[in-house]
Amino acid sequence: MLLPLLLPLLTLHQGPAARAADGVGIDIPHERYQLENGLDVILLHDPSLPQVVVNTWYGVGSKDEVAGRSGFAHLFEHLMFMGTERLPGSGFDELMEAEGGWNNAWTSEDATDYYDVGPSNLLPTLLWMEADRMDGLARAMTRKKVDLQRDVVRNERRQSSEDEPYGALWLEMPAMLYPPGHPYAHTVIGTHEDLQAASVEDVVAFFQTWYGPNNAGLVVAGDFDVATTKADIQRLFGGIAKVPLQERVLPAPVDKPQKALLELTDQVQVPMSVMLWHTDAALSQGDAVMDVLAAVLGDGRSSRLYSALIQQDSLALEVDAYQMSAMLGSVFMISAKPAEGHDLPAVEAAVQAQLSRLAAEGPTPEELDRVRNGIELSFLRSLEDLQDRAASLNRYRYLKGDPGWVSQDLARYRAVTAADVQAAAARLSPDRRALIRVHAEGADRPGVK
Amino acid sequence: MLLLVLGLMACGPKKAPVVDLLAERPPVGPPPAFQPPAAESFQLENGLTVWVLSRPDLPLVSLRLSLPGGSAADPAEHPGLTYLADEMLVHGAGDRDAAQYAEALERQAIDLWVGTDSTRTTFHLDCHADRFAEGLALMTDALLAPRFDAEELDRVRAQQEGDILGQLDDGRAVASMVAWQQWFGAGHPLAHPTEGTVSGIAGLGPDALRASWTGRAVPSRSTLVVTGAVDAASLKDTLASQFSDWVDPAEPTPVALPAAQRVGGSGPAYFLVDKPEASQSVLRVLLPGWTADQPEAVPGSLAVVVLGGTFTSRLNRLLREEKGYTYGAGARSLDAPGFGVIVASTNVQRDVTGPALVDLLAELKKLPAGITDDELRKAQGARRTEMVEAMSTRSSLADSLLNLVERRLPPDGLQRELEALSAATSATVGATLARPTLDRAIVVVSGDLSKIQAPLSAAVPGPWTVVQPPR
Repeated sequence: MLLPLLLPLLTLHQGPAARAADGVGIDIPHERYQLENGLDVILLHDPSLPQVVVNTWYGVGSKDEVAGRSGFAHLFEHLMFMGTERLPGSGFDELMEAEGGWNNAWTSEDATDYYDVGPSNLLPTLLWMEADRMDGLARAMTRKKVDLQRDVVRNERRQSSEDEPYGALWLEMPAMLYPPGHPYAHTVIGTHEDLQAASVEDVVAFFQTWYGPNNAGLVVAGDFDVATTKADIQRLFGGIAKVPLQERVLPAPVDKPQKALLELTDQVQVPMSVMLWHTDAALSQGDAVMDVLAAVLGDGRSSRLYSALIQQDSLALEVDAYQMSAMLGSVFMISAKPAEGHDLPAVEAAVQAQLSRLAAEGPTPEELDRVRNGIELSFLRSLEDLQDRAASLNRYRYLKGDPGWVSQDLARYRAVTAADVQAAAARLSPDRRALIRVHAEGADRPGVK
Repeated sequence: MLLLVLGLMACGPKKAPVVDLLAERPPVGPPPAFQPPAAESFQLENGLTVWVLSRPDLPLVSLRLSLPGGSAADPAEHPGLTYLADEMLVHGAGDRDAAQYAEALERQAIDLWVGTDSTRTTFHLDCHADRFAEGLALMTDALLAPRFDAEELDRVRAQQEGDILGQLDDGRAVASMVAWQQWFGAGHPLAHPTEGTVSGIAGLGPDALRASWTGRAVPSRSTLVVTGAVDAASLKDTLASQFSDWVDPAEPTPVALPAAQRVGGSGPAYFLVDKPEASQSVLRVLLPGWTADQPEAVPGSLAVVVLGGTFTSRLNRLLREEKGYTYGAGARSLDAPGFGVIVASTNVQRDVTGPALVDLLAELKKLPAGITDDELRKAQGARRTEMVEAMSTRSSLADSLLNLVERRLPPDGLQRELEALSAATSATVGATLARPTLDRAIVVVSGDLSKIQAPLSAAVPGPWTVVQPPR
């Protein structure tokens, strides 16, 4: 029998009167404590299905890489699966999968997150494996392992960026937006040159600087015995030494791009324009405003940009808007592909005209209701999946110091007003904008410009 | 090293023993019990079959309405007609034009879209339980009164054309299109991409789309799956009322498919597709698999998991972790009524295209020799974990039940499948492996032929045929 989650009563908006009824928050029930060595532990007990998730979040990302070593945080993520003295070779994956488990990880500019999923009887093993590699990965590092994963990562770059349609623009974007030396001025995947320069010594130093309990959050979620698990965590992780970390110098906020225009050519059939602006940092109130703005502009066929550029004027084939949130500052992006017979400057002008209109008039109450209903529903849905809940707890812990911040997260969206959205649209001006045009080298469609 | 240095009793200056608290790996206990749920089933007066699985703990509902037909129903001269007609269903219905219909859905955060694959059209409806009645009403409008407005059709056609052309940008999509085309053979209803071709959808008007849809909207051969905050009894009344006007058309479109198994047996057929400047080559191999109604399908699928379904699978371990050729390699088993195919695929660094294909084919050649008990246990565990995870959300639960419908399995099919997976042995799995033979395989490589063709032909002599993807 499924236990009821603590949620409830998210009211869908029907107009201004209904908004006054808001006030009920949501929650992900959990318990939090800290070991003496600084490891943040969060337990989410949910026995509704016989599964567990172990989510280990390290506070290091590509923003912590040194010059000449771009891609290193992500390369290191790959190396975390290459074995220890206690569990050598491919033992990490072999052992987990032999018992029905699986795992994955991701690296961003801000953090690196590892997650293991499996049947509930596997939890002691998962905890042991995470403690083992937190403690001892560096001692078993070899040149052969670094060389192998270097090749894998370089192939990942080829597959996810170089050969991906429009992938090249993502490789160019950081340097276009951020000044040299800014932690975000290079890609997470790194360059081939920097990846080839990485050495075993670099790997060991990186591990010894960043991979320790005082720079990590451990979430255990699912079907487990709380008392037994607490004892296991203390026994397995309690003796792992802290790492010295490294002082971070926060960069000055960036308001304008380094370069206003970049023209690229790609092997694609349809050209595309991408417009970018610097915006507020992740989980700030301004960040929520930008999310709402993105939804007003581009979420669904009743959104502003779809209605105007596709439905009414048949000017574009596709148009999207989204807020890419990050710790040191976010980026707001609008992308558009022109319809046959139209060109990139025409869609760009049309997008900018819609932004100007929104800046002058603000969103309608109906638009805000639509967006709020969508946001409320997405929060509700995020409570279904165990992996999502585990990741949310760690993310809020890392960015806000409070794993239970989900209710405040929803509250910041509920607090967004029409005036906020209007003011935000006004800041999306051409003088603050970076524009990337991807021209279609492979076009064989008549009228494509 | 994680150590615990024990303190000494007062006996003199002896060296303290060191204990590694992580030295001993914990034992793994018995696997937890798991019984997948079974849906309740009933039939409406119009013949529509309904499956319901109640999950009341969150106010969410997911609905899937599956109608046989799909792109296999495309007329030969109009590949893509079905896809276009299906997309238009939610671009204006009843009294609402496209803009009004979108506004009605999105204002209430109702997620409604129509998916088309080769054999089915499926409505997907996900929403808050409080909005289910509205969502169902809007879906019924799309089902029974789609408008196919001409102006909107032009817009949607242009977008579909953009999608078709966009697929040509992607080496993986190109390799897939060519592989299926060669597998089923030119002219076979399953050979063309679901989205069709630019020429196939050109000039299609509202009447053609309406006729296509009318012939496929047949309640007596369709199934509706609902999960979430609903109960079967009240839902039955609601659906009976909602669909009271939905009856079988006078001339339903036939859905029987001609034989879909690749004929041949003199060795693999090799095909090349040019993708200039690609830094990787896409390798795609199709092998005969098992149809959904064959008892071999379940044990056979376990062998495919061993081959390429997990990170430590044979293909991924060899091509990624040992050789460093790729970011990932895998295999999956597709079983449907009437056809079954195993697909093995990977994207590899351009300069190792030949050696990578040699290794891939060598692994496929080894498959008939069978799998070990350890490999079987791993595959069973992976499938079981996958099933448990699918129970997490209403949406994934609805999709799991929909998969049973598509394979013509009963509402308790999840439990039966779990039992069949658990009962498999390495011997029963081995007995299925005479079928996926390279003798009847299709091999497709998509990449920069100016760089790879010569060394590839030296490594794997073929003979190779250069083909163009359908457009």
